[in-house]
Order: sequence, then C-alpha cells, then structure tokens
Amino acid sequence: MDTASNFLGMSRRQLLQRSAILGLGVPFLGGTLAGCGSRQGATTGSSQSSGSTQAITMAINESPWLAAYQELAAQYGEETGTSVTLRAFPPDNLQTKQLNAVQNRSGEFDIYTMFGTWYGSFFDAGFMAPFSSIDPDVQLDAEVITYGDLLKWDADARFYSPDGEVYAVPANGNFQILYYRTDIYEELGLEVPTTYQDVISNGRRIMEQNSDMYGYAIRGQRGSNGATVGFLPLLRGLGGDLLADPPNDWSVTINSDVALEAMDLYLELASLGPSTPQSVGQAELISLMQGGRLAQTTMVSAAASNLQDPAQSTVVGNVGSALVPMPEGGSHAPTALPALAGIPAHIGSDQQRAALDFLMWTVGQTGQTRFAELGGSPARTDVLESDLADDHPEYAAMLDSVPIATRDVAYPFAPELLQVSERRINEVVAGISGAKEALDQAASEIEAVLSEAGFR
Amino acid sequence: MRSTSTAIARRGRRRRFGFPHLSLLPLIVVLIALVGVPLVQLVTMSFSNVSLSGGEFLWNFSGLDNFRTMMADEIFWISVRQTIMLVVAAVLLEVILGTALAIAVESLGRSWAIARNLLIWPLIVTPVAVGVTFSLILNPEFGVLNSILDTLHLPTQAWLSSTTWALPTVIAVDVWHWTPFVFLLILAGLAGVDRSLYEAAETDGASAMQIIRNVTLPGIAPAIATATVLRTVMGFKVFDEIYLLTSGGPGTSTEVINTYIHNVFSNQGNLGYGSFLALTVIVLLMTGIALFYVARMLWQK
Repeated sequence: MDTASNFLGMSRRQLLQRSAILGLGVPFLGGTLAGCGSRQGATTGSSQSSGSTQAITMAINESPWLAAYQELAAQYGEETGTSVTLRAFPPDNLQTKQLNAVQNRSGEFDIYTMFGTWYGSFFDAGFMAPFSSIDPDVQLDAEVITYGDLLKWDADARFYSPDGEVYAVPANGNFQILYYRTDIYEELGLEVPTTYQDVISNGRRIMEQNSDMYGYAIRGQRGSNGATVGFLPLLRGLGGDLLADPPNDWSVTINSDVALEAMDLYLELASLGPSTPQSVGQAELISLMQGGRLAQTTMVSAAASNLQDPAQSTVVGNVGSALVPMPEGGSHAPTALPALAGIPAHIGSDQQRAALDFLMWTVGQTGQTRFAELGGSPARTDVLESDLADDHPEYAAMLDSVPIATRDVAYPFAPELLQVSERRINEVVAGISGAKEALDQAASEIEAVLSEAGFR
Repeated sequence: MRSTSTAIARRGRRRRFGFPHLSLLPLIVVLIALVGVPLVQLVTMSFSNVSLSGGEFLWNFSGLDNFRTMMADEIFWISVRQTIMLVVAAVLLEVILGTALAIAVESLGRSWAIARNLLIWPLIVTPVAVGVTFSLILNPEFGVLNSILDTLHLPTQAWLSSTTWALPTVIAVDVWHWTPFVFLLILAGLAGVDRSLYEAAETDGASAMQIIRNVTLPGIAPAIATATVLRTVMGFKVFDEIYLLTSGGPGTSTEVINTYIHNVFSNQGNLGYGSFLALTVIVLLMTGIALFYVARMLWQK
C-alpha cells in the first residue's frame, strides 16, 4: 500500500468513497428520523401552530360550499390582517386528520369542522374548547340558528342543552327540505304536499303521466349517515326516535311499533323511485333531479345551488322547496344537518383567540350575508329573511324548519350507532332483511354500543 | 512469509467485517423506525382499550378483550369469508387470463411490444381512479353499461346494487385491473424459457397445445407461482376499489377485511379493536405464506 495516502488503514480512494457514503447517509438518516417524528405541537398556553397570531388554519371538508367559505376567509384576512388558511379534505378523511391532530397534540389546525356523526363525540371527549374559556364575554347573536341547541353542550349531562356552553358555530347552515318540480305540479294541478301521503299521491299521478320519471326517491345508500338521516323525518314525525329521550332516557326505540310503521311508509316512498334504492345516495338524488328524472325528494338545503346551476342542471327555475312533509296524524320533523366549526382545546391561547374572532365574524350579519351572496347556506334567520330570499326559494323552507328541526344523529357514540343503523336500514331498503328482523337486530346492537360507551 | 500472508488475511477479514457491515446501519435504523416501531405500536394498541377522554387518547391494557370481541363479531367473519372468496376467484382468473395473454402475445412476433404496451394500460390506472370510473360505468341509473344494454333491448342489471351480483362485479373489476400485472410477470418468465426446447419439441412433431403443456407451462411455473403469491398478498390488501365501488354494501355483501377495519378504526374510532383486527390479518397472511413455501419445499423434495 502507498503509505503516503494511507489514513486510518484506508487508501486515498477508499477514504474518499467512504466519506462520500457517510456524507450522504448521515443527512439522509437524520432527515428520515426527523420526518418520522410526530409533529409535537403546542401545549396549552403556548402558541406554536403557525408561529403567529396573524395566521390561523382551519380544517374543512371538500364540499360545494367550500369555495364560498374560502372567499369569505380571504375577505376576513384582507379586512383584519389575520390570514385564514383552509385545508380541505374529503369528509371521511377530515375526521381522521383531526383525530390525529388531537392525538399528537398537534397545532396543525386552529379550527376543526365537524359533522353530526362526530360533533357529539368530539365535545364529549373534551377535544373542543368552550368559547367562554377563550372569552368569558362572548355571546352568540339571537339570530344565529342553534339547530336545536347543537352549538351548546352540557359536559355533565354529556348532551346538548340550551343552558350548555357554546362549543361551536355553524360553518354552513343545512336542513332537510322537500324539493319538487314546480312545472310538473303546475301542469298537473298538484298542491304542495304537507303529508307523506300527499307526496305518494302526487308521485303516483306524476308517474302515470310520465313513465320515465320517478315520483319520489329515498336516500337508501349505506354511508356515514345518509340512510339513517333519510329515515329520521318519518320516524320522528310519528313521535318515535332511535333513542327514547336523551339525555333523560337512553332506551333504544329503533324497533318500536312506531318505527315499524315509519319503515313501512318509507318503503312505500321507496317504491316510487329507482328499483335499487340501496344504491341511491345524495349525489345520485341530486343527479336524478338535475337530469329531470325525479319529481320529488328530500335533500339538504345546501343542494339547492346544484339544482339552480345552469352548468349542471336541466331544471333551473323549475324546482321548488317546502318544509319536509309529515306522516298523516304526525308532525313535521326536518333534521338539522349543519357543519359546525369549533376550536380545539389543546392549542395555544393566542391561536384560540384568533380562531374565535374569525368564527364570531363569520356568524355575524356581515359574514353570513356575504357567505350567502357567495353561494353558501346561511345560518342566521335575518339573512334568510332578507332580500336574498328572492333568489333563493329554499330560504323560506329553511326558515320554517328553524323552530321545529330535530338534531342530527349527534350522540357521543354516533359513529358506532350509525355503523349499526346504516347497515340495517340499508338491508331493509335493499330487501335483504324484513323490517322487524332488521330493526330488532339493530336495537340489540345499539344496546351493546350504549353499554360500551358508558351510557348503561 | 506465511505469517505475513496470515496477517494480511486477518486484516482483510477485519476490514470485510467492519465497514460493509457498518454501512448497513442506516438501513437497519430506518427499518426499525419505519417498520419496527409502528409494528410495536400496533401490537400494543391491539391489546389495549383506547378511549377518548379529557381531550386525550387513554390507553388501558385490556388483555384478550379485543380477541373475544373479534370472535363474536359477525361482520368481521363475513368480511374474512368474502375476502377469501374475492382473492381465490380473482387470483385464479387473473393467473389464467394473464398466462393466456402472455403466451398469446409472445407468439405475435414483431408486434408483441405494441400488444404488451396496450395490455398493461389498466395496470397504470390508480386503484382510486378505477373505483370511481367503474362506479360510474356500473351505476344502475346513469351507468353506460346499463345504457348499452337498454339500447340493445337487453335487461339492465343492478350490478353493484345487487346482493347477488355485487361481489362478482367487484371481482370482475379487480380482474380487469390486475390481470396485466400477472401478464407482465409471466411474459418475463417466458423470456427465460430455453428456445432449444421449443425447437426440439417442434422437431419431434409436437402440436401447439402439447408444446404449451409440456414445455411452456413447466418453464414458466416459477413465474406463475410468484405471480400467484404476489397477487394473493395484494388481494388481501384490497381496499380502495371496494371502498369507492360499494363501501362494503349492499348490506355486507362486499364487505372485506380492510373496509371493515377502516370502518372500525376511522368511522367508529375504536382504535384498539381496529389494531387487533389489523394484527390478525398480518398474522393470518404470514402464516399462509409460510405454509405455501413449506408445502412448495416438500413438493419439490
């Protein structure tokens, strides 16, 4: 060996080769390990999520109203200097992202968006901060729709309460409403239905006149909550429910006589629609209506914009809306289905303050008016009553729903309960099981859910 | 002289042991970080009850509770059965079709490259795109397939909405997507078959079918075995296509292991039980693969 180039027993060539390998390997290893480490974010009291009180990040779902909310956030940023970044995820993925952020105590998001499936469990688990803990003087305007006190949570009772603390505000207002073809109604001299029996009668007449059209369609597809939510207005309209009287009485009533009667009515409605109602979800309902193949259906009020968009719909100007019908002898029971925005409890106080200021602005009259103008579904009664209603016929049905709307399936154990109800209702609608058999099995499984969740 | 050569050899052995082995250290660390640590976490969660309380996830050791839950879980065993049905049917069809296509393409002569490039297109499409596209094609109301059937005055079908046809339909989509994968593996295997064997067989007057049976298939048997094992393992991991096509419905007629684990883990937030199910699947798969190789070894002996 050439002793002149011998270092640590290595030749010059060997030394250069090995140095190059170490030089690449160590940074790679370090980078890999750093990337593997979870992003440990703020602990309570510190502010680390975006490094500045002038910037907040909101986790939000991808939806037709996302663009409106993005524009609203941009306007807020311009006016106040606080930039609001919206990070949009598909609805199923959104909750996983937010759960991961909680588990990692990450300051990744300063505002969470929640749906009925999740807000009960998020409130119950202590993930969200009551607004009063951020600002003791904060108050919601009386015009803000609370959707049956969904915004207010009583931690002791583990349920919503008008006397509870405010934990969230609506990010998008949503009720179930009835949609119908005004041109067909006019042609056949039909009255706007108030009962489901009227809906069935109208539907049959429409189908007699036009065999290519469905008289009514239900949302029977198994999903996160669609099949259950589609059934609720009939169940609750007859005085029944999934559970007897939460939080006072958690008895399971999904298989009561009233529930069986409601299911029979639901199946009669389903017979007016596609032969495979188990495959019809919200997207399919909207498409059927847009394509002029569906005369009547119940959907969320936020779907109205899809039906009035000339780029998507062939029935622009020919769709009316009304309060969700009631079963004969029963009552109207539209379900409130808002997306709620809340503030995580574990992020820094500065970020919580900035997030609260933004959220309170969005539900103020200015914020909600702008949101409605941008195409969003407002959550204030004064905006629903304003001149904007001239361009939004669904606002009248939404206003009618405000005093009587029932809550979404928003119990603390909603995800587990819906896992049961979605499957069993889908089975009935698909003809796999009889109604009594399926609902009895659902009742038994929901009992187990309640026990597991500590409500027994 | 002898002592010098011994010393040199000893130094060489030390050097051979030292740096080459040390250079594996970054890889070992990365493997531990990316594989070992998550696996340990998974096992820990599998034997825990993970609950949400006070803004945190609380882990409590629960012993075999999750095992007992799994044994009594009707939907899990339905999903296992349906996963096995899907994997057996899909892999069988894919291997048969893939092998047939590879043999056919290999015999095309100069245009085999064009045929190969066309045939692998389904493999290039991501599973998510496949799921979305076929859910539209197969939609009973809007789908192009039913539109074509209707135009031809043939009865339209419920496809993914039918409890009878949903699983076979999903299997058909899977076969469409993954047959090119098997095709490529077999095609590569065909390239390794000794050409002189074909010449010898032709000289002996063997027919095309005899050549395929006695020369081609034995020659590509290792490739077929590899393709079968790989597709079986991949088949047990199926999720995105089914999630987008049916979400496990109607009812539970297309529920497979991974869609069910997703439901338990993400929709129900039952992290402990979801982890146990995932661990069970890993153990079952590894056991199956080990048994396959043991059986193969015994067969070869």
